[in-house]
Amino acid sequence: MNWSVLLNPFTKFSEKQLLLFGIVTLGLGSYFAAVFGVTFDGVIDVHLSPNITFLQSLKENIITILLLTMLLFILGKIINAKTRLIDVLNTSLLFRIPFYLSAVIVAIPAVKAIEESLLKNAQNTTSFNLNTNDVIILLCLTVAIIALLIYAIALLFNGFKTATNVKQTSHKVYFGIAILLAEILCKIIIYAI
Amino acid sequence: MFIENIFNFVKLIFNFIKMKLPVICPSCENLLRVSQMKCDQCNTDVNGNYELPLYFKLARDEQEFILDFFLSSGSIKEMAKQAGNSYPTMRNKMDDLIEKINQLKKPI
Repeated sequence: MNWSVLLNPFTKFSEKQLLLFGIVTLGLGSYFAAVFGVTFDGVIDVHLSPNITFLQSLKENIITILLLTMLLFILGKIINAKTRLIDVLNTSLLFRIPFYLSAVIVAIPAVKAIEESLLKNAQNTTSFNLNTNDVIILLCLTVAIIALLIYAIALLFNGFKTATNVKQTSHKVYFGIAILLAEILCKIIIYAI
Repeated sequence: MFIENIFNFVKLIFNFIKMKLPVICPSCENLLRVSQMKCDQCNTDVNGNYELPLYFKLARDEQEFILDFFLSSGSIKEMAKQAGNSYPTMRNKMDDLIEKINQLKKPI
């Protein structure tokens, strides 16, 4: 298996293939979120939300993707006039996949049981009853979530790099600022609508 | 005549690629210059100190890239399809190559 393709699929696949894959995963991700009770209310956010519907989740994902695409496209055009909207859109679409996977991970029965136990005891922080197995499961969950977050950022950066041919360090800093800006704007818009 | 010239040029490039013309000095890594040429028919040698044409100052994969670009009628999209790469990957490679050629064209 070629791992570099997993880290940077934008160099190998055509824009049509990536767009189709991105749209399919957007639908699946929103469905998983509704089934497993997870909300993606930000660019880099995953939270438990048992009452979320498929349409709400889809709306959140679309807002996130469009906002991120818009900001990165503006930045991309400033960096390189040849930047195409389709490449930035595909980057934003595929960047979401690790977040959809995290929704599946938190829905694993063993993890769900610990979450429910923690939520029950949320008011009483002095009496958490976690046995060794629970701690190991929580540690594995944390490692998996962090790995997925790193993977998501790697996908976003590699996609943006491929779309814009970015090389200068200052441009990479602007890229970081654009993500933070997208996160803030995303929160405001999602909760305003 | 024009077509023939282009054909000869492409043939020349193919021959150079096949022969693996060294352009970088293996000792000090500076760009090499042409000091001798030979006529295959009458064995006449020409000695001198000639600068390599710009095309031959490029790395082999860069030369092949330009040739592929020429052979695909200047379509990056077609090249990307043939190479199994995405369009922006090929366009970035092209932009980097243009940048490198512009640097090489600058007088020292």
